[in-house]
Amino acid sequence: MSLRAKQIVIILLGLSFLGSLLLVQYMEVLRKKQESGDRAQAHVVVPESSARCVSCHQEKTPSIVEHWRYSTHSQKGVGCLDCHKADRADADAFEHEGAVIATVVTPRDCSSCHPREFDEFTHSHHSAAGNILASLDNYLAETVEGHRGMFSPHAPTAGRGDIQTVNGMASAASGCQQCHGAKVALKGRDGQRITLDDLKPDANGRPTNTAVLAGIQRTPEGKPILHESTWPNTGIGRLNLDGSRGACSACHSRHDFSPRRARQPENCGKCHLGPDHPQEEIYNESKHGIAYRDLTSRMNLDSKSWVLGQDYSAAPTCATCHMGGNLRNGGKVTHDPGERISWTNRPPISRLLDTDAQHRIVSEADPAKRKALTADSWEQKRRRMKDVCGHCHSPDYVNAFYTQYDELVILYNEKFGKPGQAIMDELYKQGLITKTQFDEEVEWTWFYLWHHEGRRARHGASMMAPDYTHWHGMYEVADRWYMHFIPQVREIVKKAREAGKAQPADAASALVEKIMARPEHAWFQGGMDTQFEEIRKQMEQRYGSK
Amino acid sequence: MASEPKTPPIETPISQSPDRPAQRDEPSQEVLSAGSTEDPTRRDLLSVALNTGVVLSLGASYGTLAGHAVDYLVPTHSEAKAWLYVAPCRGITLGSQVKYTAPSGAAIAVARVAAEDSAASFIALSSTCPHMGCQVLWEGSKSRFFCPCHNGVFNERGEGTDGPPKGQSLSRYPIRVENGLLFVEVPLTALPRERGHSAQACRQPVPLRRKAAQEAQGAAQPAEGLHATPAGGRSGDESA
Amino acid sequence: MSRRSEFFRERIPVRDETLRELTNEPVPNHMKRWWFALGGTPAYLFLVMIGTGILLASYYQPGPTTAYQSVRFITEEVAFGWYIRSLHKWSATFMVAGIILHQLRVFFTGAYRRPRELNWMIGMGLLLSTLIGGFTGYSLVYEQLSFWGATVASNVADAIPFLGGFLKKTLLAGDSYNPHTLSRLFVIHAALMPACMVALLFLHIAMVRLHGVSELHFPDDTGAKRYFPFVPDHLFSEIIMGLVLMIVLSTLALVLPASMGPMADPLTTPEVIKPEWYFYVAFRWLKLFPATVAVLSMGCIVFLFLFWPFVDGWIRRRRPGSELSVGIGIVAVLCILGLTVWEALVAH
Repeated sequence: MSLRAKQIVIILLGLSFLGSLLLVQYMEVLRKKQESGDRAQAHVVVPESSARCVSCHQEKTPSIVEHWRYSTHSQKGVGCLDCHKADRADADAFEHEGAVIATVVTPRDCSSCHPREFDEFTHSHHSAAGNILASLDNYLAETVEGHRGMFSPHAPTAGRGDIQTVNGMASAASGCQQCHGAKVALKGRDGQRITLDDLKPDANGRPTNTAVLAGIQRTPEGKPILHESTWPNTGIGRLNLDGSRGACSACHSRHDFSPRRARQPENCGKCHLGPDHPQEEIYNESKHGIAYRDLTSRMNLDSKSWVLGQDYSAAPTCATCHMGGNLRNGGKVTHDPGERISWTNRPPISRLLDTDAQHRIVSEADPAKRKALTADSWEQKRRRMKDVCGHCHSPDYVNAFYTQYDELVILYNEKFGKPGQAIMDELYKQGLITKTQFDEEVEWTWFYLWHHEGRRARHGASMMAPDYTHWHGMYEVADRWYMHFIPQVREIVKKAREAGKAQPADAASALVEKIMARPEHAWFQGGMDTQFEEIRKQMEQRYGSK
Repeated sequence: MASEPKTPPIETPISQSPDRPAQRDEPSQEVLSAGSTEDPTRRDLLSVALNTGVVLSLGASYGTLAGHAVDYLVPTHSEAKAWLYVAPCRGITLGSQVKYTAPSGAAIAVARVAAEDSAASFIALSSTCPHMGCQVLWEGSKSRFFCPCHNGVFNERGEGTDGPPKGQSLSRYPIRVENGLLFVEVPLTALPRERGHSAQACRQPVPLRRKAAQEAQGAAQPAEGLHATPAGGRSGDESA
Repeated sequence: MSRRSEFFRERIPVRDETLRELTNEPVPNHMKRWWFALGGTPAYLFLVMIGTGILLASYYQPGPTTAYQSVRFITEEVAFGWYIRSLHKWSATFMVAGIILHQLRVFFTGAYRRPRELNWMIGMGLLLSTLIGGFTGYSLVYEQLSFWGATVASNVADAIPFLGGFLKKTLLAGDSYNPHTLSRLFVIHAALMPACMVALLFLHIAMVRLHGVSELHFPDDTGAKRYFPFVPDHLFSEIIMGLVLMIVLSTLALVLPASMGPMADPLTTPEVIKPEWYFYVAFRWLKLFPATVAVLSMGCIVFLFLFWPFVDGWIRRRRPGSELSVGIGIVAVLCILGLTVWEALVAH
């Protein structure tokens, strides 16, 4: 090869080499771009204040540290102590590895950063869920299912010699209170419970009755012992030692405080399911739930902002309709799910949700007085819900749906709810049944009718689940009414009459027969034959003769 | 490749060729005059062009390689930083100061300078003296920062009032207020350092194991003794 | 003469003539054939290795807790880190290949014969240093192959009678792989081997200059002149070779960049584990014989190769004119090739 040829080859090779280097540079730019995309994703920061907690707990309880690492808190530098730190004056405070902390994190703790959410939640019906404790509902668990207090076992349990007592409240602790919330108690040295009633916390949650503090039982390390029947507990209406109500972790599981999870229907389904309020099952039956399951991948559940119509539109979840922000309300999230509910279908007779300034249901019947007391009317609440519906449905469609829903609720109320309640009230008034709840069959029957079947019908209609409205709902209500409730009431009247209580029996009987003589019950009383002929004619009109 | 080994010449590799040319051989006329019929000036022009081409081509390619190496050595991405939560705004009152330690270990003094809850109402001061980089100390009684290295003095807003850094200020971290919460943007990467009792952070298993051993020996009573002390100490604390 | 050149002439007392003589070695005509310019390839790659190696060392952190992370950092985060690391890795592979080809050429052209026996031995030293450098190099990543490679190698050393224990301890900085092992391997890779190779390379080239390149004559070599000048002719050839190598290395870096295997797990040996291809021979040899036998026989073979010029001289004195040496060479090459292919084709 001549020298010139070599020179030309060198020039060409040099340019090729330059080309390959530029290709390398191009790859590097691509890689950097991709990497900066990766880096835009969250990174975990262990704040200095929690560095010690993390270094130890990632060995001892690695999973909670891992949960926290995936939380938004860890990305924003919110560490263990920001939530768990306590004041020395707090009843449940203790020193742990150089920091003063408390085990139970209450909504008051969360409120230091999330005051608006705390406010909304505290006003919600959710936060009052703990009030059923020691109420009629709880009576079932504490008395009917269990026993108020301890009793002795009547036979030994093979393999467990240590069972000396039976906790009659076990069903309440593991059942009711896990949804409704326990009244959190510290264990006293005498074994008694020390609750907020004893501590009398002030506005800051500090106990004012410091005398009881000395009586708190502590571990050798100085950690106060929480009463086992009240902790662990993440019931949504938990009554905390600092006087705050509720548990944010009920929906936003600790320690990842996942908004993603709270957006999913299964989260609400921890409590809103089962025979008395099968909202999760109803949702699953509805087109809403079907669309959600199909389109979960398009729900953008991880998004920081989760505004309906803007961040996702695939399907509504519980949170979408009852709490989530949407385009029409300016993206405002509420932590009071009651803000968009127009009927309360919880009681035996559905009531319209007019609420007063203190967020309590107005029970006044006089229209003028009712209007004066109402701070937030059921119409306003319904309008807020319609705002959500309007992202997918036309106003006519939504209004017609609400007519269908209202009519079902009113049908239940008028045909079964109000008459049933009136009959029960009359039986109590006339002394035909005892004041003790659930000791007579008719009380169970009535409870099934409104608390289980009646609610299922109304909830089913409220969220578009035809099977729950009909077969699990109104059909069973009717069966309960005609085949159990009315016969049992008549039997009570008959027995009373036989026992010589003629006057109370007559009064009750008059009411029952008056109700059963109403046109909607007339078919049951006979004369149905003529009606059948009428129905047949109608059918022929509709479908033509066969 | 395999044919050559068997060629005869291998048997006499020569050490020093007798007719080896003088070292100062005229630069390879033989090669350069390959196309000797050309016009001399054109040939010169061509050589100059080729020589320049070789130099440029090599310079550009190896120069780019060197450039890549420089990029490799000089970190282009800045230090990892993040916006971190410090405290709720209402937790910092006018005239008070909150100490915040960044994950990098940098001590930051956060103070309120105006009443409303906006980013402009707060300052987050670095504790690094702008003079020679020492760590300043907060002297609460004189409400000033003092640098022990060369007697620098800063007021509570971080402005140098005395000593060599007079006229300079402690640098400030960016501040953001979101929903009434204060965030600062701070560096994340930390060099290892002594951190409190961190060496003993996980020592707890030791007493537990000891306790288990004691229980195994049937000595359960020390637990009772331990119980009373901290509880008593605590109630004393609370009354104080 | 300008004053400036006077200034330098006075301070660097070298005559132009000497300088030209030193740098412009007359090159025998046969060197125009590329096959005979192979020695420059590993030399050029050695420079690439030094350059990229310095760059890599500026981020690499030896130590079991940091090594893997720092290599990952280089590969994934530093600008052009993946490219530099790929260049380093592929240069190593090409360097081993280049040395072997160079050596084959020297062997079969008999260029190692009297008086150049010592330079053959220096060359062997360079080959061994390169192999050690290659082995310690991939041990530094602290991936599975690194860990188990180092473990196997230390036990190979251990199998040497008398010296074994001492060698293993020295290599691992302890009785077994421990937290100090990586710094030991790093020093061997980045300080000891390069230093040895710089010294050997200097001797190697100095010997070539002292003896002159061994001349070969080919029938078609009819030119009157038997030499051509190093500058610019041969220099240009070397530049071309360097550029071709750079292009090939860059292409390989783009197409097959150095990746990262799973991090070392001292408790689990991977089901299929192989060293780099240039150790396939030794790896297969170890599977064929008991440890001590295998190690000793390998040692003997290496020694035979090291002193080959003298062995060859002895053979030729005993049986002049025979082609026995060439025959031994062909058999050795076929054996090595066979063992390497065998190892490459089977999983275990």
